[in-house]
Amino acid sequence: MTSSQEAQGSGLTAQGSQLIPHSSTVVTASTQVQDTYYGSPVIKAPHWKWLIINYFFCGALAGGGFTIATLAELFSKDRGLVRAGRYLSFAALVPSMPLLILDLGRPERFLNMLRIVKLRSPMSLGSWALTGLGLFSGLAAGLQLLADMTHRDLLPGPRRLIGVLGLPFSVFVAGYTGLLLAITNVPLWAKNYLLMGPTFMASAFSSTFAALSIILGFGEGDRERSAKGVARAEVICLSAELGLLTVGIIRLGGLGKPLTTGKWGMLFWPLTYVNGIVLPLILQLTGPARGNNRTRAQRTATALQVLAGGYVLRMLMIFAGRESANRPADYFEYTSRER
Amino acid sequence: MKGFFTDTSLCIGCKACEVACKQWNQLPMDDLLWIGSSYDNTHHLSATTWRHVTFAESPGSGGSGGQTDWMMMSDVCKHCAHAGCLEACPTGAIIRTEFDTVVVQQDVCNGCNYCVPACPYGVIEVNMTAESGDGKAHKCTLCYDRLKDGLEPACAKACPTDSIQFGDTKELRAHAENRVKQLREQGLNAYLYGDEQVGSSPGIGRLGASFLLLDKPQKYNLPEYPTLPQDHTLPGVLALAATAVALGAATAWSFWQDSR
Repeated sequence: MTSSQEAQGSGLTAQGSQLIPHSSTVVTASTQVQDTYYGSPVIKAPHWKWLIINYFFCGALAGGGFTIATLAELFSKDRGLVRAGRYLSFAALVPSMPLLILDLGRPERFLNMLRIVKLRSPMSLGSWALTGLGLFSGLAAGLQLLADMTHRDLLPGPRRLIGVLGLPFSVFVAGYTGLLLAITNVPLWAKNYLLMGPTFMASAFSSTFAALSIILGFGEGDRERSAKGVARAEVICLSAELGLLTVGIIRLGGLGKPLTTGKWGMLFWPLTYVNGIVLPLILQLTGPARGNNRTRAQRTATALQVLAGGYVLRMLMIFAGRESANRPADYFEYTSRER
Repeated sequence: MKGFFTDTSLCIGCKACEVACKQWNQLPMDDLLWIGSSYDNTHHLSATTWRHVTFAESPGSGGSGGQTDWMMMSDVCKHCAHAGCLEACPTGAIIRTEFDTVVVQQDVCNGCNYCVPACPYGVIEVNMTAESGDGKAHKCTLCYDRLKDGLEPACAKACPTDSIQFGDTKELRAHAENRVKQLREQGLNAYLYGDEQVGSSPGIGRLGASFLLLDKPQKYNLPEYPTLPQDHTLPGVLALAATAVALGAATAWSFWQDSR
């Protein structure tokens, strides 16, 4: 950095950050000034922040909960798992809608999302999938509540049918948020477009299993029979998440730096990669999957680690994506002809 | 099919286009950005700036203290043949008009912001500022209202050197090719930005607003070979479906193992 560029940088920060939206980028990118237009961002970063991060997490649990409840109803004898999945799905859906609506520039126009179907826009597909899931998840939770209140197995047929019909919507909601990010020009997301959705989906399922194991941990009972199956499914989802995330980072190369280095990297590796995926995977493989049951406190601690890892993954993808969009050299690399 | 051809070899950096655009479209003034690096204090296209004159300078042959090479360019929405913003828009607010231009219908847009990262050129923006923010997406309309009345866009009308030219895209293209040839004969490294070779790609198609440039695109803050994000939607959805089937089958198998 030359002295004139340094003077330029300090002058910018002295002006106040409200006046210059990209001031930090201009300063940090000044080493690249020769190859860029004064280090100025080429594309505009999305404005997404906490509302969307929280929605991403709630949507993952809403989609995952419904999916796992349906699969458990069809393939497992554990009614407690089915019940917890349905209630979790609906409980996670309730805050999802207001979070999304509040994020709009014009919240009162949220219904305009349902004016039209656009098969190539993940935002449009997601709006419709969430609407569909809202319907099916609400019906399923309602019927579940009816059965639970009356202590009778009322209307098992319709419950099963609703579960199956809602399945395409729930799996899509569980994973499309990754695709939503990927179908943009932000290098960190777009370069890895093929694996963004699958990574978010695997993370949604591992987070949902973690949330369910916490919920189910409170009601002791004949959980032992299904515990092994749940643990095995958890191992599969965590392994898939680990594999997809690792391959994605390798494929990104230098464009992955906003996520894997710097301040976001300092959160990503310990909180998501190690604590959120690798350690829980090791604990599962050495514990329940081999029949060594651990105490409820141990299980809850592991589940909380997975949940925190899933939340931090979504948070960092958003924040690192904004940084990626603000790096002109990254975008020029992404759009170079020889890419 | 109407569009712009911006011949940067004629631009003198007067910013008359920026002013004319603001006046005709009644766009509020922006905060002055003291970048301190060039005469460019507009800095970028935004919800309230639809023409932006870039001032790229590089040391000329004289070395330090010698001559400086100036490259001014009036940047604008590219009105892509296949526009990322239009394809991303979930409300159908962004439309293609009868002039083949891309316009945001202000009475439909709900400010979801998804068009913003979908633009490969960083053009469209949602106005969220405290002063003039209406929470809706804005960008160049290619003066849709003027076009309907048979007038040329305000920026092209105001340009004193005819650097900004408006017209039928086919005619503009023929003219642009002649101009490139003419400048190349004079020894300048001129080329056209906005066809599927440079400035666009088969996914985006030909740009409705093309440019004649004299240096590599990055010098003007333009991408060399951007792609249309939505071309990745189908493979992305298929990858999602494959993952859903794989993880769903594995989970079902795990549950079933215990209930036998």
